[in-house]
Amino acid sequence: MIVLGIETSCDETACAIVQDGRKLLCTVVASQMEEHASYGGVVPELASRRHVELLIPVIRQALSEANLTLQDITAIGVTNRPGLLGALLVGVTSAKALGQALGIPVIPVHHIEAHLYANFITHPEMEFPATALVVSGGHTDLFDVESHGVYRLLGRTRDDAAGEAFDKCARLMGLPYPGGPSIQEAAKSGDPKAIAFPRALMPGTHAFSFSGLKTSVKYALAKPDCPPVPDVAASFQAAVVDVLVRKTIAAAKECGRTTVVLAGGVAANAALKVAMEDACSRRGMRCYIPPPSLCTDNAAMIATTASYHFMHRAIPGLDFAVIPSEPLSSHGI
Amino acid sequence: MILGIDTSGETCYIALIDQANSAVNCTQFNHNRQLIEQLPAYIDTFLAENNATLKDIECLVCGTGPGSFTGVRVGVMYAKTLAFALGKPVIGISSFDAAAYEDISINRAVVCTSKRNEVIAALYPAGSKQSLIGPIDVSTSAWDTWLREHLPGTERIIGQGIDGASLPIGNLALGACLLAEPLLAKGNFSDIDSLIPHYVATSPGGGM
Repeated sequence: MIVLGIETSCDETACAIVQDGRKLLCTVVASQMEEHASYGGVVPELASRRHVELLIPVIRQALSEANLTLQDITAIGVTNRPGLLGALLVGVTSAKALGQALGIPVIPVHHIEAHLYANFITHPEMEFPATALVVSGGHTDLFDVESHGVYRLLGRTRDDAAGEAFDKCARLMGLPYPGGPSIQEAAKSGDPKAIAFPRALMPGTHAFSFSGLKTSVKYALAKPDCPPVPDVAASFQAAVVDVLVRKTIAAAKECGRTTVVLAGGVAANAALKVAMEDACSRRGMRCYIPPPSLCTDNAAMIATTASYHFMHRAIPGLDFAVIPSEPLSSHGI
Repeated sequence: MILGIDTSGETCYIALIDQANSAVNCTQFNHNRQLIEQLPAYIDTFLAENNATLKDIECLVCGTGPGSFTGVRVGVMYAKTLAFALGKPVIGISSFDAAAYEDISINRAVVCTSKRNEVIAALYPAGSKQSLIGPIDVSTSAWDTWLREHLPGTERIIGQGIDGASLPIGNLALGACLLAEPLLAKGNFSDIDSLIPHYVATSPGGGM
């Protein structure tokens, strides 16, 4: 079984090919990040236009890297929700045309579910149940995952997503977009204890909030005795990491889970990885985090998720829709 | 066989030219903002009704707009992916040229509404398949002057009136296929990778 995955939900045009669910044959990502960087964020119409230009060359490159032809493909997986409507449409249109021309199934994939499944590519031994944190520029969602396809949303951010807080605070600090990598870089030479930024722990809930932290960063930077930017970056990062780790561990304990799964672009943050792995190992929990290239948007995770659906669920027709906003809910593989 | 589609407006047009049997067939449907949900099934049904399958298609033709950004993008992406997957050529044709092709014996203007107080327009002199000017943005208040200046004696306005009214328009996919036929004969195809919609308005990202 060879599944080709397509991902165009935001500003990455991506294609990957996965064999038998967990074996990654190739993954190609054409990022538009530099182009959007000059606007300080993703411009939806520009992203859609670039997907139209980039997608077929990206698919061609993936086939070439895997040394396969389209005739070798068993099924297509494509992100159809959630994401930017116009951007999603390009990938879904192309996937449907491929499926129709080749006479093979096209499987719509939920982007957030796919982030979780990225872990199966590098951690084939991983199994559910688990407590899962999906943390990116658009999401900070904490789930209890009982088994494949059985998700219970425990809590999510009430304002900014963690990745959004990185982007916005990077801008306040005069660091370039995207904020995740630039704050991580600046924080390397900073003191994480320089400023004791507030931790919004939202006791009694599994919800998150990062807008207060953003305001604190703004005020700290405005003070005449503000420490240098690396100290602000390190202190900000420590505050975010602290909240994410404490709330994830608390959720795992409450749900009686011994496996913690991280996913999404912010899971590529090295400080978060170290802190989460440390917190898990001290409590005898297993911790799974994909490598950074599979944390950020990619199509390998789409192909892997589609493979599971292909094996365990009814195949939908080609009339499925593109859905800009839909929370991940159980579908019961 | 040549399969053409145009999705630049609220109606999706599909056409099939069977050169061997000199047969031409067309269909259309109002997609009601559910184009990508409906398009694959319409194509399958239409081909089956004409005793054809995608394997019989020698060339894909698509309207490249201008028109609805999202609509054109779906049509162009669909056609070029079919061409890529089937290993067949694709030819992109301006949706305005396709609209104007319906009757080339008279002076024509093709118009579609754009931003507030503006239309996108192109002018086609009698006998010409190609536009004299446009498609470009024209202010509705300057319309009369602009038309008189560039193509006096325009007998027909196709698409939309400058007041946004729907005016008669032929099957755009058929017009596109007929315009593509001579290009196909000469092997003058579009490059799959660089075939993109015709955007009149520049992107918020600055480039086309």
